[in-house]
Amino acid sequence: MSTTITHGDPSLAAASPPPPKRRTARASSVLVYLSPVAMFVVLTLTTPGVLSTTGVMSLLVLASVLGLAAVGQTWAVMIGGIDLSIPATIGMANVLVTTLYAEGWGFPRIVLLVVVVSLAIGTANGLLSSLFGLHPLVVTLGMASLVTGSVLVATDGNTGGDVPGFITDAVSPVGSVWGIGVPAAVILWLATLAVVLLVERRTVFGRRLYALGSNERAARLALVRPVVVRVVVYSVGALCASAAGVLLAGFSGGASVSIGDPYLFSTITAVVVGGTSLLGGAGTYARTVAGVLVTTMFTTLLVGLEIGPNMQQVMLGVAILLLITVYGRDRHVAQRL
Amino acid sequence: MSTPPLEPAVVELAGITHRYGPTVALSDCRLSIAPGEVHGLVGENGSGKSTVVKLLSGIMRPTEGEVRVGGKAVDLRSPAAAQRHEIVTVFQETLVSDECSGLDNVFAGTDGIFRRARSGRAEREAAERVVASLGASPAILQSSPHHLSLAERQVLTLTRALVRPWKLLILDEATSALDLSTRDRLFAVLADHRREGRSVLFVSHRMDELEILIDRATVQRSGRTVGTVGKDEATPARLLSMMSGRSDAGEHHVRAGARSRQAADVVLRGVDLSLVAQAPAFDLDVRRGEILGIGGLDGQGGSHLVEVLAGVRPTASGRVEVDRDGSWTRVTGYRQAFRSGIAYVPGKRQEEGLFPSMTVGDNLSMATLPRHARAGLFRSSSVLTRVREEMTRLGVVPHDPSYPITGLSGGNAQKVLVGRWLAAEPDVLILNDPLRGVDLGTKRDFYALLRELTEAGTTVVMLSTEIEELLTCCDRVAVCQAERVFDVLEGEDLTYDAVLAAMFGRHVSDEQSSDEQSSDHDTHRKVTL
Repeated sequence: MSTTITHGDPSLAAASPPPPKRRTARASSVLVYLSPVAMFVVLTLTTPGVLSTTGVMSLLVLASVLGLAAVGQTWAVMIGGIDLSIPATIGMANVLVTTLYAEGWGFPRIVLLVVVVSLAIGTANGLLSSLFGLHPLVVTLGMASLVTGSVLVATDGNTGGDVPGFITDAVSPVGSVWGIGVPAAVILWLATLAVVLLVERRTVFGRRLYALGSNERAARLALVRPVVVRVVVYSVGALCASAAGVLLAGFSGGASVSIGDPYLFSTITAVVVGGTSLLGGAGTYARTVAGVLVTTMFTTLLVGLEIGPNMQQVMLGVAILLLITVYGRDRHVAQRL
Repeated sequence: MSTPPLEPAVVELAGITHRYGPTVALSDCRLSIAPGEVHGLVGENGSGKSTVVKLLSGIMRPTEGEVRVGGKAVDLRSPAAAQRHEIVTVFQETLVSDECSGLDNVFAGTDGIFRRARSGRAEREAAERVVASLGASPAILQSSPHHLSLAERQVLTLTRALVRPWKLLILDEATSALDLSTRDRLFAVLADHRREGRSVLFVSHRMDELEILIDRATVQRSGRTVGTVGKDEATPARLLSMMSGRSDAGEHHVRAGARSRQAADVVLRGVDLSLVAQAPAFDLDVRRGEILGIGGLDGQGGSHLVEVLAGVRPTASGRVEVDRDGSWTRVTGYRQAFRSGIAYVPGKRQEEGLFPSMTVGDNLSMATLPRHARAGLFRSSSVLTRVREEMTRLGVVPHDPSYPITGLSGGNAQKVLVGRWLAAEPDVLILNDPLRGVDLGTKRDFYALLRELTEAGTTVVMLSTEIEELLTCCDRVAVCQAERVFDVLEGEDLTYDAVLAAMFGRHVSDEQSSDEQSSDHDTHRKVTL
């Protein structure tokens, strides 16, 4: 039995006084992890083409990009913040890769630059939202504008370019790595997932992340340094968003600084659908993964039903509002009173 | 005990009972304020004074009983309703908004929804007159209160009350923020109002102020009204004895005396310590292996003192030093204090202690997790073993580390919080009012635990606002009053009456207190003035 955030073994609870609303929390977490399965069944029934290796892989590639973008959103929400700079960071990485590659830069050099810029964005987000007591909503919004503007200034608005072939391969549904028939993007996502969950569950940092989100004042007194936690959270988020931005370059259609724009709504949707509390202190990236799969399949479903992009937006909006009504009325609110 | 008022009361509380959930804050409270009198209201923490003030200010409504104004039952449903009945209140906290000028603060709430563009000339003149009568400069009305001193801010809140039409002015520890000259001016102003038939309900911990000002006083103890006494009877000695009611001094005296420690072996000390700006400096020694109690009424510096000792709060001046293997190390912050062997259990459990979304095990292990980790990865088994050990030692129910912390009772949650710091095996454990709102069983467990810890060589500093608790478990008690340690009591001097007197800034004379210990109580106690 571990001391993870997820709630404990029901057999132990039997001998204890009735815990508050524990059963409902348990039930809703089962639902969260079952919902991608249910959605997949619905999808295969309505859109038969999905039920093939290529069909599943194209879903997973789409999910990988959203999944990477949503790492930062999940952790930001878990510490009681939010990250609005994710789309701009995606756009930054996307434009840097394509323009610099077209100018003849080597790929490792480009990656190094993207990493440095990402760390700078994350550090600035973390420092500003800690030291001056600014709300992360404002800080990351400002940062988003700063990043997008800087990219446009640096490239003179000329954001088109060229893409290394292996990135195109990485996001191809028929791509493979070391002979395994899984695209590199999906492998990258799975590796990230493993590391993120390990950090959440087995590291001192992970525990401090939850503590900060749960009660900042108490966390300070329990020797947590909020600045350090925030800087790491926003930096990890920026790095993963950049990875998503690089992968997006592999899709045809050319580079754009605004290529990340849909990911503001979709990362928040994935977090909320996963049921991570917007109040912070609880949740896990595993839930977000369920949310990512559900939203990706939902969008595919709408496309399959030949619903246009405008109507898709309406449907997504309705879906998210419905979900928030179901489990957005947080048990933590009640427990904190 | 009670002297009937000569005229019909301005304001009267008749048989008031007030409950917060299952807690009875006020039980059958009787208070009658005559026209033109200054009526003192005294009692320890938890005696129900603030509940009385809140009921009269329209902040809360009584569960049972009647509030009468001019003989008629009224419903003070809101502060605005209290004001319609011409009851105004000034609180200890200087409630001033920095966002608007002093004048706007004074007249806040008098305008309608559509704010007047500018306060009228009449308003300004009225406010200036009051400010001047309190000896302050009318300039404080013009600027933002941001730059004003505490006393000047309190002048603003007093002005806010005095410019309104009032029959009863409630001063709830409102003088503690004032400097002496302003206070004396206020008393003179109040004397004038009194002659005009207005009344004052004066809540204060300062016996000297009560002596100067009041015509009668009502004493509260544990939510009950002990009685009302006239000016002649309302001596500090009489009031203190009415507040204390009973005493267990004899019983505690034996144990406390037997456990006196060597004065030489000091483990933590405050040198020339000043808790807040301009507060008097004092020295304080904490001896190795003792339980030092920190007593005092709320807001008199006790909480500041433990925070300063733990490095959570900076000193206004002076220094705190801890003994590290024979040399004195200055305490500069709580992280550094922790590395020097000091652990601090914060006071407000919900705000400063618990992580509501986490499990018991996570809450308990938070501060010591790095000790079970290599390269940032902790070993769950090692953490859990330690968590279970502490839960067993403290008797946390249920004995389940994966239980949500919010499912525990207050007492058990408090045990988990103490366990978080015990797991660090500190040399000095500083506890900020750990037993507030905790059930009796948990309290008894705690007393035993603290004994056990000190026998193993740990030093304990514990803040408590309850005198009995201090007497039950402490070797010495430092009583804070007016942001300083007023007196440190130990051995034969550590009695209920001595602690109570010190809370109000008095010394019980030695010969008197030793007499008292053998006799039975509710008689007068002599107090040196």
